[in-house]
Amino acid sequence: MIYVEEEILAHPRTLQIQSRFPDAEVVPCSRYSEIFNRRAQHFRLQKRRPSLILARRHRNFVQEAPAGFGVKGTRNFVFSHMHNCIYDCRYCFLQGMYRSAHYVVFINYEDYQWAIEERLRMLPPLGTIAGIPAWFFSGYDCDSLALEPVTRFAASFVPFFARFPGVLLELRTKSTQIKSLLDMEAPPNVIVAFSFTPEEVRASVEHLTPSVDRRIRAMRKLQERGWRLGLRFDPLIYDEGFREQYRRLYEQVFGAVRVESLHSVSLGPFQLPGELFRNVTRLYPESPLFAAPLDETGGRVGYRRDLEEEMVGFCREELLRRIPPEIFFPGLSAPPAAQAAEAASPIGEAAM
Amino acid sequence: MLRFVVALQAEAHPLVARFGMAAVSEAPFPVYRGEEAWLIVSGHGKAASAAATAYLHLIAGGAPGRAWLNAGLGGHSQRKLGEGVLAHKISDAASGASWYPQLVIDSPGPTVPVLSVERVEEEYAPPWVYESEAAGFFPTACRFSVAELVHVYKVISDNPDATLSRRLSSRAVEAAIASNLDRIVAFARGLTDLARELEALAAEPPGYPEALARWSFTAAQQLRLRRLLRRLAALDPASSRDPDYLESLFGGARAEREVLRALEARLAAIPIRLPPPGAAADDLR
Repeated sequence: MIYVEEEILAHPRTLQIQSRFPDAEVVPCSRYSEIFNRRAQHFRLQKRRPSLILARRHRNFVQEAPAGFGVKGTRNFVFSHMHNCIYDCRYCFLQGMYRSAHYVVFINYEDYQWAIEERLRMLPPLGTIAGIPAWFFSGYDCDSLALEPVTRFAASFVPFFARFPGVLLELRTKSTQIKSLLDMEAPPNVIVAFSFTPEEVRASVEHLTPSVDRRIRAMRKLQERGWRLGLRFDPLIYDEGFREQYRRLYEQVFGAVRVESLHSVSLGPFQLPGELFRNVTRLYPESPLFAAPLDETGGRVGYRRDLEEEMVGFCREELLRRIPPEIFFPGLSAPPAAQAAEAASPIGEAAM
Repeated sequence: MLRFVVALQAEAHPLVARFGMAAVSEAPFPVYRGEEAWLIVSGHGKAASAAATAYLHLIAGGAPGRAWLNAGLGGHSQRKLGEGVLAHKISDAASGASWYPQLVIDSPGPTVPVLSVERVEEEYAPPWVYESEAAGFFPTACRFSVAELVHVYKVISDNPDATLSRRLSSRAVEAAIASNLDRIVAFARGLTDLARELEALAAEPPGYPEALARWSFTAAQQLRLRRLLRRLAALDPASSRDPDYLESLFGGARAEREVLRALEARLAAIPIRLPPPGAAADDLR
């Protein structure tokens, strides 16, 4: 089933997306908020069979990144063309964020691009502060590439950002949907950042995601075509065998991906805002992930301090044996508390 | 348990018979109950349907998160008489308000938009199925459950060639529902399975009621006990369901604090191992 806002029923991008699902029932609605995130919906039940919702976004196209996120000394912005993700990662803040599991795709990309240009015009000079690029991050309310064959998001936004060499675009993904990237030249200011956990963790808690091997193969293909890559070991997930698991993961990744292809590498521990943590544990009380030794500090739930420090220390050390410190950016794996708050705002926007 | 809401007595008969329900009350609404289901006969119109839905919720015990199904008749401009359809959108012709039932299992038939009208219409504008109860039933039932568990199933009784409902005999109404009964029942049971899933999520962890019956925990200790037992159930599901194991764990405790300490010590000793995919620990589905 595809829900479509009445005002965009005839929009070319709506028709293009619908054409991918010729058998789907199209249900018109006034606003996507009539369906998405209503009271009396159950995320876990809906995740069994989520629908696509096509909508127009009216404001808040691009926002300043939350404090603590991004790269120090630069301007950092986030934007999302989607709410929710086709994957089902148990640790993800999206699990506790909305009552709906449907995928909302905002099809008015041109309005986003106009808003981004507006932001750039306000930066002196175009897109740079004292020669340091501004960063735009896609992929927090969704995976940047997972629905690419349907949405053609990257196919639209990568050429757009290529026009602004003074800024960087990060596409963050666990997906192997890279065809549209391989079909174009790699702009030097676009980074395709892949998130990884060890294969054992992926298989256990990242439901529906491509395997580590498949992601690495996708990275190699992009590397061969000259794309700049990012690695996001985020979130670090504890298992009694974590040292071996992460060491093996790093061997796999760095055995295939050349350090020269890497723009940046980051890692960050598992953390959720307290409220989202309580939501997600109500949805999945049986998950051992949430039965690990966790503490709530400053409104955030994460691993007990000693455990977290042990994991971060070990992984950082292992990473820095393989990469130069200049490309290590811990701030790119900041905990999602503030991001979650930012991401919640579009619902308010939609309800107006 | 399932909750059925129907407008007419004749619509109720096939469901009452299939689920082996017996009459519970006659007024203010006829109510039936069986081992698997409750059913209420609301009468015509959205106000009656809303009132009957709320009444059934209360008389059936008031438990949230149950499966609800409104089964009845409707008119359509093109669909064949006797065809069963499921609502994917419900609009109230009077107010313009719309609701969207959330379908997460296989539909028992084509899905359609349903328009709730105050009076019987002479003409049916596509694509709507016309009827009179859904706009009262759906938002009311959603107050007591979730939209994934609340659905509206209509059997086409009227189209431009045959406006049967106005002269349908009780027997014909029964026959219209009866001819769709297998689909209705299979769908309703699918909803019940989903409702059981929700019930399991809300259930207390194993050992919790027994511990409460045996010791006198303060309110704060009860919260801690529940959290600890949930963690135990997640990390060691087999042991946590074994009464002998729980007895050995804290059976010797003389005070509530000792119970909590014993649980914490046990949890600290369990290695954290994420289960392989498909393992029961993260798989209620």
